[in-house]
Order: sequence, then C-alpha cells, then structure tokens
Amino acid sequence: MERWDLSDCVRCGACRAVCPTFSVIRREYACGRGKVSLWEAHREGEVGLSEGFVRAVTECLTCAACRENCPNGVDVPSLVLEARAEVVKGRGLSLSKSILGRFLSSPTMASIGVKAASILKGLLFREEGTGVHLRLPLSHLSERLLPAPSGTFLKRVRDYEAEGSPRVGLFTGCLINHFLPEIGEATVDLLKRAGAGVVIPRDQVCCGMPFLGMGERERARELVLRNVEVFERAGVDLVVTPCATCATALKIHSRELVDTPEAKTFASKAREVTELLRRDLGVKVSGNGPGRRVTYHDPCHMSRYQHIKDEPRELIEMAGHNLVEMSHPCRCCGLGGTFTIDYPELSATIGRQKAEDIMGTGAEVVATACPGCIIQIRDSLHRLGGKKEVLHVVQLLP
Amino acid sequence: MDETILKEIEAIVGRGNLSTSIEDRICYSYDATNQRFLPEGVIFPGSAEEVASLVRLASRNSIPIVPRGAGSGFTGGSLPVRGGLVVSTERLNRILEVDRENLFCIVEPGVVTGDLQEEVESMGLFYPPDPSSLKFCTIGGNIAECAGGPRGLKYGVTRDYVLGLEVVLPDGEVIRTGGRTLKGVVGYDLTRLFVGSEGTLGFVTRAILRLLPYPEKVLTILALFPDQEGAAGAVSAIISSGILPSALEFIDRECVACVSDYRDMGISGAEAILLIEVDGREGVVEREGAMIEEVCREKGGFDIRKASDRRGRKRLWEARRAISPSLRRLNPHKINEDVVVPRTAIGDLVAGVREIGRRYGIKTACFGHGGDGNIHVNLMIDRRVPGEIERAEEAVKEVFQLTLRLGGTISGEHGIGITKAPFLKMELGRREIDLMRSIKETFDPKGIMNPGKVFPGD
Ligand SMILES: Cc1cc2nc3c(=O)[nH]c(=O)nc-3n(C[C@H](O)[C@H](O)[C@H](O)COP(=O)(O)OP(=O)(O)OC[C@H]3O[C@@H](n4cnc5c(N)ncnc54)[C@H](O)[C@@H]3O)c2cc1C
Ligand code: SF4
Repeated sequence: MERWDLSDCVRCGACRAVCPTFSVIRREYACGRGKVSLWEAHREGEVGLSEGFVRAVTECLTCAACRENCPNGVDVPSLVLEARAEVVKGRGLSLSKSILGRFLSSPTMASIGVKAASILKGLLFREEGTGVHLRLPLSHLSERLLPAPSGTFLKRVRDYEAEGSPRVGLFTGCLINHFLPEIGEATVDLLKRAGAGVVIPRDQVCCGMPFLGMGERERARELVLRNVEVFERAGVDLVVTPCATCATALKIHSRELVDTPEAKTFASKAREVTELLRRDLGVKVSGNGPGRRVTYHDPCHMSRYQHIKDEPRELIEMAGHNLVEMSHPCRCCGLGGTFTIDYPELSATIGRQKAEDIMGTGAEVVATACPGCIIQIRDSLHRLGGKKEVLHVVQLLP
Repeated sequence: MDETILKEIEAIVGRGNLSTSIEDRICYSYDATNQRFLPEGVIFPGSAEEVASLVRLASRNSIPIVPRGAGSGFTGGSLPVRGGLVVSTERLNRILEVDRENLFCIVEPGVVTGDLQEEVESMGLFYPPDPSSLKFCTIGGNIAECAGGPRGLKYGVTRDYVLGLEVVLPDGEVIRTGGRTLKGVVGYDLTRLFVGSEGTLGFVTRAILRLLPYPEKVLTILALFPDQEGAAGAVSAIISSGILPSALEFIDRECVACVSDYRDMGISGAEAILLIEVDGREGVVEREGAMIEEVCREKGGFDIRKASDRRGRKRLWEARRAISPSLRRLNPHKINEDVVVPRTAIGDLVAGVREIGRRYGIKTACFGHGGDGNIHVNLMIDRRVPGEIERAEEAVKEVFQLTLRLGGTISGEHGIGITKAPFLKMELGRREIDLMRSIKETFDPKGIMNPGKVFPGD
C-alpha cells in the first residue's frame, strides 16, 4: 500500500539543504535520506522499533521541505507518518499523547477541559503579552506562551449561520474552536459579506491530523468518517476552514484514509479559506484607512501541501496593507503538531529562526493562515522579546 | 571494535559524538553512488585537535579512517569500503574569518559551499566554484574532489581557490601548507597535492580560500539551435571571439525532448541549446552579450532570450535545472559520467555517445559545461531489465575510450573513488600510477587514511 517508491531515493543528499531539523541536529538520521535508509533497513528486518528508529521518525516536522526539493519527489512525510503508525502498533502511545488524544477525539471532554481552564484561568495562568503562561511547573509547557482558553466557538455559533449561495459549511478545527474563536468569527463575517450561505454543523469533530501525526491511523479514520457524514447531512456545496492544517487533512488525508465515494466528494468540496475567497467566490476586498506593514508566513500545510501561496498575499495587498516579505517565508515555524511536545527545545530553536526572519522585516503585523503557526510564532517572538501582532489573514481584511 | 578503543575515542570527542548504533552506522554508510558499506562507528569531532588525537589513535591501532563531508560524492569517496571509522565533518562547520582587504577566508571543512557563498556575497565578495550540489556539499568534500561547475570556464575550479590548508596527516601529525597570500613558491606545492586527493593523504581541518570581488552585473543568454553542429560551433566561436563567459552550458536534443515533455518551456523546437552567462562591469557585459547574440545567430541560433535580473535569469536557467529530474522519464536509473574533451571536440563526443547508445540499445543524454568541454554523459537504464546493467557497463567503457581518443579525460569533477578506479589504467600509464602509489605510501605507510580508493584492485 505504499504510495511512494523508496527506490526513487538515489541518496544524492539534496534533502540535507532544506531540512529544518537537520540544520539544528546535524545528524544524517534527521534528513530525508537518513529516514529513507532507516525505513528500508526496518523493512528488511535490520533495524527494529529501536530508540534510534523511533527518534528518526518522530523527530520530524513533516514540513515536506525535503519532498519539495527532492529531484525525485521522494515522499518522506508519508513515509514518516506510515512509520509512526508502525511504531504505535508495535509499542503503543506515550501517556501524554494518549491523554491529548482523549481530549482531541471527544468534543465533550475537550470542551469540559477548556471550560474548566477558562474558569480557573486566573489560578492556572499568568497573562503576558499576547497570551498566557501556565503557572504550574509542567515540564516545558510552563515556558511556552499559550493562547488563553476561551470557551468553545462551536457552542455559540447559532447566531452565525446565514442563508446565501453557495452554501458553505464551516469547519472550525480544534485550535480555533477552543483557543482562537476570533478567527472563526472573522471567517463567518467574510463569508456573509461575500453573499455565501454559512452552515456550521455543531457535531463536527477533529480533522484527524493530530492522530495521523501521532501514528493513530485508525482513530484518524474514525474522525474522518464522522466528518464526512456530518457535512453530508448538512447539505453544503463547499466546506471551508481557516486552518491550513485542517484543510490539508480534509482535502488530502481524508481521501487517503477513507476509500469511499462520500469521502471523495467531501474532499473535493473542501477549501482553505483564502483559496475559497479568491478562487471560488472571487472576493475583492478594498482597504479603508491606512494599511499596515505586514509580513506573511507560509504555513507548510499551505504552501507545500496545498500549493497556496498567492491568495493570502493578494488579499493582504488588496486590503491596502503594505506586504514586506521576510527571508524564507516558507520555512517551517517549528511547531509540527505534537513535535513541539516531544521536542520542545528543538521546536523553540527552529521557532527562533522564524522569529529572527520576522524581526528582520520591520513589519508591525505577522499574518499567516494557520492557528498552529500563530501560536508558535507568538511564542517564538515573545521569547525573543519581539512585540508584534500575529494574526490570521482573515483578521486583517476590512 | 575493541571496547577500550571506543572508550578512548569517547574521551577524545566527548559522549554523544561517537556512535556505534546500527542506525547511525546505516546513516553514514552511503553516498550519492547509492552504494552501502557499513562503518564500525561514526565520529563527529568538534575541533582539529580532536581530529589529530583520533587519527593518532587510529594509526596506533591500524584502524581505517574515512573522512566524510555531506556524502554527496558520485564516486564513493566517503564510503568505508574497508570498514573502520567514518569521521564526519558535521560539527566542523564554522566560517572562522573573512578578510575583505586581503580577499581570503578561513573555514572549517564542514562548511556548506552555498552557505559560504551566501555569507561572502553579503559582504560584496565572491567564492566562484559552483558544483550543482553547492547547497549541500561541503568545502572539505570540494577540496578532496576538486569540485567545479559552470563557472569553471572563466573562474577555474576549487583547486584555483585553495591558498592554504591545515591537514592532519595519517600518523596524526598536523601540518600547514600554503598561506594567506596568492603567491608562494617555497618548496613543492603540497596544497595542490591535497586538492583532489580524495581524503587519501590526510584529513583537512581548515582551509584558507581565495575570494574575489562580486561581479557588478551578470547577463544570461539562452539560444536555441536547429542543429547540434551549430551549437557546438557557437561554443568555439564565442571563445575565439575573445569573450570568456562565466558559464557556457550545452544541452543536447535528447535533453531538450525530455525537458519539454516534463514541462513546456518553449524550447521544444530546438535540436540543441546553449545557456551562456557573462559577468563583469556594467556596460561591458551588455557589449559582450550583444557580440554573443551575433555569434549565435551566425551559427543558426534562434529565439535568443536575455535577462540580467535575478528572476529573469532564474527563468532562463530553469530548462537547464530541469534536465536532471526530467531524465527519469527515459528510464528510472542513471549512470552519469563527467568526462571532459577539448571544447572543439564536443560535437564529436555527443555524436559518438549517441552512436554507442544506439549500438548497445541504451538511452543516452548529454549536457553540461560546454565551455570547458566537461560534458555529463548520462546513460539512462532500467536496472530491473535483465542484462541492461552489463550492457551499460560495456557502453561506459566505450564512452571512456572515445573520450580518451578525442584527447580528453575520464573525470573532470567527480574523482575516481571506487567507481572509476577500474578505469584508471585507461588514462594513466604504469609509471604515473606507481608514482602516485609511492606518494600515498610516503604519506600513509600504514594505509589507514581512506583505504581502498583511487587505485585499482587495492
Ligand atoms: C546532485 C549532485 C550534483 C553534483 N554536481 C556536481 C558538480 O556540478 N560538480 C562537481 O564537481 N561535483 C558535483 N557533485 C559531486 C559532489 O557533490 C562533489 O564531489 C562534492 O565535492 C562532494 O562533497 P561532500 O561534502 O558531499 O563530500 P563527500 O561525498 O562526503 O566526500 C567526498 C570525498 O571527500 C573526502 N573528504 C570529505 N571531507 C574531507 C576532509 N575534511 N578532509 C579530507 N577529505 C575529505 C571524502 O573522504 C571523500 O573521498 C554532485 C553531486 C550530486 C549528488
Ligand atoms: S533529495 Fe530525495 S533522492 Fe536525494 S537523498 Fe533526499 S530523499 Fe533521496
């Protein structure tokens, strides 16, 4: 069932040039070529599910920079996800990941958790800059600037729904739902003004990406099945999400995980928000008032998985902002889903490079299109002492 | 390997910088030849002193040492064919000094060539050697293989930029060759002896490299030709007109077809293509550009495109860059030989290769540095087809014979390593090989420094 051919890798080493983790670790296992070789050795029975093997496949952001740069298009990220599934099958999940998994896969558990956290906010967190710090000395989490838990977006959506055409179903995604609802609100606003109908099924669940990333394919599959059914029932023409990662899951992974005509239809209806605004709705925004100096970070799940680079930039410029490019806008921010939990220091080091590139632009605002990147970039800037607003593109449109 | 030796190594480089795990041994067992030889351990020294102590230890115990950069070599230079220890320059990657007034820099061997170029370019300086692997290969590997690229025609190759070296000899002693000056004739030129020695004479721990001022302007020209003779003729005509382009790349019709099939770049009507670059002072560059255009037209060139801005130039280079990935359309596996012939013989080489391919039933494609006659001859094969590898090997031998007949050499850039060692005798006489062997023995009587390379049946 391999979708890639390992023999395509000629061991040229070109992947060493672009891998963000390799650039810090400087050990061959970190780059694509090393992972391909270890996976092959594993297949041959030469290497088991050893510490070294597990490390090689978990210490990866799946940013796909290697795949994009590979002369032979070797699909290292897919290999990594496949290998992680094998690791979970053989060794099970770590405790922290199973707990996280419980929260993510059950909407009730998650909203109870977030509700509790927002009630106990003062007790648990200390507000700082653009986020909060955990007061408890919980390993590296207490060093990280976290978004304040904000109650659940999907619980208050009744007012947001609207008639119009096309009928667009909003897929919120966990991070927006629990932590950054303002992105969901801005999206709804834009859709309404474009004359689109807005439908927000409340029983939608996680897109499955965190599970895919952890190697829990089966759970990811169950979630996809659920979402396929929920959105089919909602009778929508298109499905949009303002989360680049969810968009990748809906468009690409759902089709790979679930082999049914319904899943195929669902995947073909899925859109990333800037893509929907520009390509499907042909939205033209125009700025009122003075624009701001904005720099744009390309989420890996946008630029490399969906090849969307122009649309967010067009929207930012149409809105009258002054777009200044940072160097390496497509370089990964270093979050990588659960990567940041497993390798907090490495994640922070890679985040620091991004923050430095941002500081080099002199922009006041950092725009991007993924809540995960927003959280990571806010944290990285905060650690560097850089004061900048980090927003989703939709929040910058009038 | 002996526990006590491993302990000693760990004492030298520190915990974590020696690995004997099967995973790391696998990850440092290959290079771009896609061959595999497992080392007994991998070491990541952090300083020249550590390298010296390591080599002393290895020498005492007669353990093979294999220096390794990025492992992008095409001839197996970094493969531990006799086992032993791979000593990687992964951590020796600092740019130690850039001297603007005296135009040199001092670097550790693990610095990536492209990183060095970016760094000095930001200061208005220029390190010209440009192997196409520059984004990932290292200066140490470049020195060991004497790497070169399109700019070789005007600017020379790695050899022409190494002013001095710090080398750990196979007995662990550290020597310094050359220096910080352009000139220097005191004694034999050991610096040049080390350049291209493929890590068989010593471990380079530091290099003093020559820099140039960055050229003010670069102009790129793409010219299509209706026949190969026209393109080959234009190469010689451009050079005899007194212009020295900074790149003069040749693309044959097989490559044109492949690239066009891969992506439409508006080149499909051509039987051969030249991609030419001139650099230098504003004004002069434009004049030279116009002269080149004229020469190309005289030789039948058409649809001539020019660009001097970054993006436009990149677009013109696209067709050239797309060749490697697109060749896979012919067949999945590539045998790539970097032969060199005098530039007036390029046409004969390309035609000859085509004829050899036809006789052996093997698809061929030629492209490369037309200006200096360094043509990459690619035999595209499918290893899964029975007998194909054997036929290809015979064809390669004929390509080498043809190259030598035309007055050329069998390797311009990639070195000998293990893959070309069997052919060394085709080009060099017995006396030359003996002389080289005795140099190797003088430096490395125990034969521990990258053994099993360069010399056949060794
Ligand atoms: C896609 C691709 C394109 C290429 N294009 C070109 C090209 O255009 N021109 C060209 O010339 N080459 C080219 N090459 C070949 C290769 O990149 C060069 O030979 C390069 O110089 C190798 O550098 P490396 O750091 O990868 O060295 P490695 O492959 O690791 O080692 C090469 C040799 O150098 C020795 N070595 C490494 N470091 C040291 C040291 N510190 N001291 C002593 N010996 C050392 C090794 O023992 C080995 O013998 C290409 C390769 C690839 C994969
Ligand atoms: S760039 Fe692609 S082909 Fe080259 S070593 Fe990496 S994965 Fe293999």
